[in-house]
Amino acid sequence: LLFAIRAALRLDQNMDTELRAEMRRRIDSLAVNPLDASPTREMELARARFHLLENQAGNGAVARHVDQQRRAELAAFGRTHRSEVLHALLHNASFGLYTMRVKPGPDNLEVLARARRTETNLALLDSLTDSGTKPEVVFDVERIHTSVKELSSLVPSLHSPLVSAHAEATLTRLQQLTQDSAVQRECALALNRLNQGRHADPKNHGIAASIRAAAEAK
Amino acid sequence: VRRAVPTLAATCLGLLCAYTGRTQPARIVILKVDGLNADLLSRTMDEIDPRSGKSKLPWITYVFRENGTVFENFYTRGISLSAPSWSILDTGHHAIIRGNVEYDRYTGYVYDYLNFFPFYLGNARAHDEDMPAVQVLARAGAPLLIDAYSYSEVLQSFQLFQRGVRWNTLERALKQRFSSKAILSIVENGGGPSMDELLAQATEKDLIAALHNPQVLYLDFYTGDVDHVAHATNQQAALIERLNWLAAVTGRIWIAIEATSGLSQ
Repeated sequence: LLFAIRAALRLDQNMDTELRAEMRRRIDSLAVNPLDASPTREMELARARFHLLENQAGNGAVARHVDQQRRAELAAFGRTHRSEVLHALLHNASFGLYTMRVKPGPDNLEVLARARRTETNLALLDSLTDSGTKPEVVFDVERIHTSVKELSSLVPSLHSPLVSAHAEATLTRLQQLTQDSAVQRECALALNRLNQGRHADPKNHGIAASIRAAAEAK
Repeated sequence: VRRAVPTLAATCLGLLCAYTGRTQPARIVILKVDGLNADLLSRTMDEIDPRSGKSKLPWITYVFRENGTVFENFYTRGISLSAPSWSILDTGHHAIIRGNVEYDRYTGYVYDYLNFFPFYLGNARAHDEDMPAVQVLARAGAPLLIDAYSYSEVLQSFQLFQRGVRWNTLERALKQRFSSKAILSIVENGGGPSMDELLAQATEKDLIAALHNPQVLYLDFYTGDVDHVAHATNQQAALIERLNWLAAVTGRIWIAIEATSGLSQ
């Protein structure tokens, strides 16, 4: 708290100069922690970090780093628990040199956005079904409806059997718990859509298939 | 020392009754929450969660405000300590018990109403059936609400004014506490569910199972969790987290009542 006040006083330019100086003098006399850095030093470091960030943004290092992180996130999407353990083991055993990533491509960002929206919707619906009570009492029914609809449109395009199974279990549970006829109907439609998607091409699955499908759609 | 601190407000959250066409309610389900802060509860019920578009305690709002009754000025005319407050709520009499611990100045005998260890020991060794507070009330001729029901019609949870011990529930909670799953959870996460949580889960399970039995007419669910948190911290977030848990329990019990006895009757 003391450090925050000291930094705020240093940054504030609207306060009366004399009053600010007096307040700084008194607050500085309260600073007894020997590990505290002075606000001047902290501001110098912040400036240095900002310049470094600007330089890296200019030469493309930040963009490369973000792209690598996104490709790693995409590769991890819909992974089985066993596969997750194996990749974590390889990553740690190689001291971070090995990280599973998807190949660079123009459709990665779109597929990643879909994967993230799927995860968000699944997390929301899971939180509603976990308590074992009527979801429409704890959450706005329109938002549940939208979430189910969005999930049913997203999951088949991701070609992930694990995510499909997760979505199916969640939607089945939601259908059992809700007493709202519109949500029940939407769940039934979504489950039907998931089943159709699964039977369409059982061999064509995985995140690579999603990226291929996104490219073909264009 | 803690017991003497006048912050324990024993509060009965409400009643859920199911009628079977008779003029008198046939079944009563009571949710008893020790140390419940009425102001915090009311304020949190009024707040709308922007994420969900519903009250921050949706199930409590749904059951008690939208489908029941909320008393604006409900209070007991006793000191805000657990034992005196529950004695008033459970009997409807003026306070006979005046503190969590009392002693007889003439004989020096101590009445420790919160200490349940001697009660469990006494029950196991000599079939003593009543907690000390219940014995005192019985001697004063003040019956408890459960006394209006016969033994087979009652499912009483673990509480201060307890008659008898449900050893099966306790056994199941203990088995879960020392199960391989619980031990694995401790190793993996550095902690597992507490004994209080497991006992609450087992009690809730028993209550929901008993709702399917038409012979059982009095059911209660007592929790001291809110009070324990309130004693440990004054952080509102921690208390609201416990209230959220309570709201979910309320919802599960309500759904079980709907499924078993039919509230429309």
